[in-house]
Amino acid sequence: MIRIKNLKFNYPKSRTILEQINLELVPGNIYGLFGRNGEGKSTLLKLMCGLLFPKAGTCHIFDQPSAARTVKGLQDSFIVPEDFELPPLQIATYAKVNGAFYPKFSLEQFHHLIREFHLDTRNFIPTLSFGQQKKVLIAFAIATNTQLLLMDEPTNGLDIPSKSQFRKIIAEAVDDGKCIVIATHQVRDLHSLINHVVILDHAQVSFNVPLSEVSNKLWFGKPPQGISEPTLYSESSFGGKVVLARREKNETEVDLELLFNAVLSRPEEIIHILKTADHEPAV
Amino acid sequence: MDYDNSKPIYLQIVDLFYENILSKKWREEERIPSVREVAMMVEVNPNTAIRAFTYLQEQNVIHNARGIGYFVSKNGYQSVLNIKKKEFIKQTLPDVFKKMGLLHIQIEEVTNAYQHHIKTIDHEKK
Amino acid sequence: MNPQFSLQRIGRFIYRNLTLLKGSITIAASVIAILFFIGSLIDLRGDLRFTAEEFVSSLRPLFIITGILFTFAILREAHAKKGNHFYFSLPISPLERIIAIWSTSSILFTLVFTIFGMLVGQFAVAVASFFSSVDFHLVHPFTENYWSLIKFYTFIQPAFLLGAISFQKNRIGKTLFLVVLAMVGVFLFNVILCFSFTGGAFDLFESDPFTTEAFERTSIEYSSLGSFLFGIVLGPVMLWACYYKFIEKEV
Repeated sequence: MIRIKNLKFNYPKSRTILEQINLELVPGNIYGLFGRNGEGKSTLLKLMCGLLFPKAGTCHIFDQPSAARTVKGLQDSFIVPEDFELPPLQIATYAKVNGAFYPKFSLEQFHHLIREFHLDTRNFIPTLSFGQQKKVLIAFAIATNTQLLLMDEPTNGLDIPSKSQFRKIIAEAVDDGKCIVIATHQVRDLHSLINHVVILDHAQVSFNVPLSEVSNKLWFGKPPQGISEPTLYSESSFGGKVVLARREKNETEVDLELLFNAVLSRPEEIIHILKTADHEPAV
Repeated sequence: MDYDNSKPIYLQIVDLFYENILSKKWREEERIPSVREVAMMVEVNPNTAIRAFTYLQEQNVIHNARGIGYFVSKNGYQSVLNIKKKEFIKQTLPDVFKKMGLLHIQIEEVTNAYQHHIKTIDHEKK
Repeated sequence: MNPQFSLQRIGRFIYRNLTLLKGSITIAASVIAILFFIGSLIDLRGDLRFTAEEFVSSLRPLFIITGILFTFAILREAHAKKGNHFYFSLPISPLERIIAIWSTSSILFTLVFTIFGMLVGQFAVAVASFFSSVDFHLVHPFTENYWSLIKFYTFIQPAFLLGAISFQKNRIGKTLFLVVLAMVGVFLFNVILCFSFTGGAFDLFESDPFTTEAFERTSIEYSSLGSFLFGIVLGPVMLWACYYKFIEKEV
């Protein structure tokens, strides 16, 4: 669905943000895009949907260069930026005038989502809080039923019950044909949704692995007593949690925060373990 | 759903199913919610829910009637009971024994506590 | 059907843009209505008639100013830091965009503004005929001056369209500056042209030293081709440039 090869990008008169990005995204997944502040997560999302153009390399969406912004490509992709402004219209009017451009837009679904978020389609958008406006945009984004949905910090500004609503809505929306990319720091809000982790570090994709593989190869938790094996990564601030090679141990849930910190501090070791085939003894 | 941080989410979903079956909320040969409904209910990626369903099918707890949906198996209740009993004996009890050792608790104390517990429950029932 | 071009999408885009500007349009229309109404009444005081000539001359400044402001307003979204993601990821091709925007700010605007002006003028005449000795008569703008006004607007407007899409800040100021600069350029070109043809007969300008006048004279006397080229540069070429601006615009 998205194919990025050797992509390089920098904003005018500033340092290179993305140096050598190679990434392929396929339908049926919810990708979590992580990275330190300023690592270019938002920039990468904008490049994916053609709002920015690569300085070198290529970025293809549905086998077309994303920068071409073809109607067909745009009809099947939607981006929810972190910060945005909606026009001064009623929610219903907003959906009517913009939804018409998306062939798979469902007004019924939109109204349903607006109700789920405890809003009313007769609400006048400027009278809503930022969080409520975000709900309007998220509801619209999902109702467009585009194959590709890019979201930048979607849970920022949402209150606690809405975060749960959001997870429900995404769980409902995703299917085999859809590809959702969520760039976020709010790992706890979203970790149950994400099934593939992409980490940006040093202007490159330093980690790109399905979570099923991670939980197959790595073990997360408090160190089991009486086992003396090298820890891959440990952190006192997580109550002494460690990352170990899983080997014969029981499968654990992937602790995304721990994984993120582990990948940033010891990328080679982590990737080495993941590349080790099941039958080989991990070194 | 409150996630236990150490157990994989799909296994936590499995536990939720077990609970519903043991408490007879879901009866044998009754239809259970679809993958998507479960994914929404527990707010997880549908792939994770699918994994839970597959696991439960392998355990013969549920079965898939093509085109209709998932049902609790004929002997689903018994299967769950066996699984949970085994789990209790293999996992929960050793933990309890270990704690008893650490705290110097004798088996008689446990028996007494158990008798007391049974009495209170009977009392409450009356 | 070519997926990159659809009249239906153009229609939807026009509808969308107008809906978004509904508030501004309503305010602008009320202000213009009041101004034009008062202007019409003042005009009626003299000869008790509102002739086509008078109609056009009072319409002209309002028409040009509103048209230019409208052109900038319709493209405001393209520069909204927090809103242009949505604008540029909306599924519509650059060609459809430019056709929709141009036809709204040029054709549709001219039509609506003329009809609106006629209605207000007619209303003024009706009111005046009711309260004074003015006889009721129909108001219309269709004179040579009206057509030249439209011609002028049609050719100058794409330049402002280009300015509205090109500049991020102070868009009106910068565009006006460039248009004035271009006019000075044309003026100088004409001076040189006149000079070379007449051998320094500068008295040509003494009576009326204005650029447009000079341009008209020169074009009448020397170059209908020149005015044709001028029109081409201001009109289609500017629109063409806008089209590329839309293709190249990043957020």
